[in-house]
Amino acid sequence: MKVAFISMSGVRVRTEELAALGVSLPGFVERGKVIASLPSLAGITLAAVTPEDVQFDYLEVDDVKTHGLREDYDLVAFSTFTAMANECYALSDRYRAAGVKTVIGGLHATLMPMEAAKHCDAVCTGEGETLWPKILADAKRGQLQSWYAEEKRGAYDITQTPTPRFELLELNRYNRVTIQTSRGCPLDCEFCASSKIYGAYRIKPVEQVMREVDAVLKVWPNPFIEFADDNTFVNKKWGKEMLRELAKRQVRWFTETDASIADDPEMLDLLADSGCQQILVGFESVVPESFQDLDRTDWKKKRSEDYARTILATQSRGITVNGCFILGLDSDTPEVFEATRDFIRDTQLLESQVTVWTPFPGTRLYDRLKREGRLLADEYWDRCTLFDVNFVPKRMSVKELESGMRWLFQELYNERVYLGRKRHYMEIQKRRFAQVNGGAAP
Amino acid sequence: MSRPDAKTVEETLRAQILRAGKLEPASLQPHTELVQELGMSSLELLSVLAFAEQKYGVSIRDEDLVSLTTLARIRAKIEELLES
Repeated sequence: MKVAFISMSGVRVRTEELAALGVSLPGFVERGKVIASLPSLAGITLAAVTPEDVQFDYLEVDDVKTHGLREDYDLVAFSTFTAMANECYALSDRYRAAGVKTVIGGLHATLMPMEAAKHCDAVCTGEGETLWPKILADAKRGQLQSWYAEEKRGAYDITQTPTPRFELLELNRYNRVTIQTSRGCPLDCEFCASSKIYGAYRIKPVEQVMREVDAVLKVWPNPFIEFADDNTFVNKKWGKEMLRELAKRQVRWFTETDASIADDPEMLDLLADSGCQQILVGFESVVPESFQDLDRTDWKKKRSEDYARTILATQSRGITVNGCFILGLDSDTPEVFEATRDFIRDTQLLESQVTVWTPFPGTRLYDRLKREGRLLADEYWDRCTLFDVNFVPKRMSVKELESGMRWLFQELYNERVYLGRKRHYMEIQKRRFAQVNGGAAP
Repeated sequence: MSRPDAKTVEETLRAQILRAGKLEPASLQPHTELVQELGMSSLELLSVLAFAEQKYGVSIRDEDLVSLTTLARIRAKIEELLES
């Protein structure tokens, strides 16, 4: 039996003016390149639970038009984000027309199984590790079912997930490799699709994470690791233990976490010693009213007064903070653009990621905006890029949101600001060198 | 403080690049692109430039930061600044 794992990972901004801006702003381009070149974990994880007698290829497709169809596969397994869902379906249709069976899993298919079923022979909803062996066995017998579902969302014991087959990746294609230390996030924000598919927040034991780090080190001796988590350091005791282990390996890494990481100076010191280069924090907004109902417990609203301290405490240790902000929240007025620019400038954030509020299908936000008649189209998946507007904002027009975002991009990602951030990072590092050397040059 | 000779500057910068990027000594040639070819992160490279400024008491113009991507170019820039 021969199987192909196909990951669809490319994302292209659809609004022409924004796409044009994206290629001319250096700060924007840099993070864009990183995201575009991240490997997908789904295929190489399923490869690890694939029996030895099954041959397989791991393929990443970012342009279906140039993908050469291979008819010698018995089964093609797709994983895709929402923005590439339609292109993924088109490719699946082509494979099926050529007589090849297809199965789809991943975030979008889990949230929209009925839609995915129109284009694939089978749909796998939830976490794939337990379902994949059954799918393969059924396919082998010629009895592929149309739907494979987890019994209960979030019930999968991730301590049982195997180490992904990192050796399958063509590492020269990437500037980072991804490892997952946890699944889900307890904050369960209204806009978040991940909380919806993963259910309960679960972490891997530190030894398991280190097994994966060591597996990466075997194939890439000096890697840059991106922890593909939604919120890594929820559990601080576990986090400290992991940081101590990472420090022994001296790898460079990046992750997403929440603002509470900066509550504990010891945690930040461990973070700095462990090789952490950057943390991405979803600050979401600089406007206090805009936090209303963002997450179930108003956690982010309560934290927002402390954002400047979080940034200063983290960055002073040589770790850059990539602050994420959402534009178009229900309380946002046209003043939000200038306020966001001022906050980023005043706090000297070393990196920022500004995106538009996006109602991903299957989320509570999608359900609410649909109920309120505020979605601009019934189906807009290729515009789920985080930069294209897909809904009617409450306190400004669609045009105001689009033009305000363009203005903010120009303010944040231009050459002068880009160089200013580089300079600021160097000055932080110089202060740190001086501290280590008692004020003298190193 | 007497001005360090070119060889010392190169050796000092070389040692700092190897340390910051956790690189194998054999991989680092004067004209090797530190980020593109050796996989240093842009932050590690900036940390090397910060080290060089601090060590030699010079100041690199912000506009020049983006072009300093090899050991040879960094050394040449530091030499130029020390001369001036």
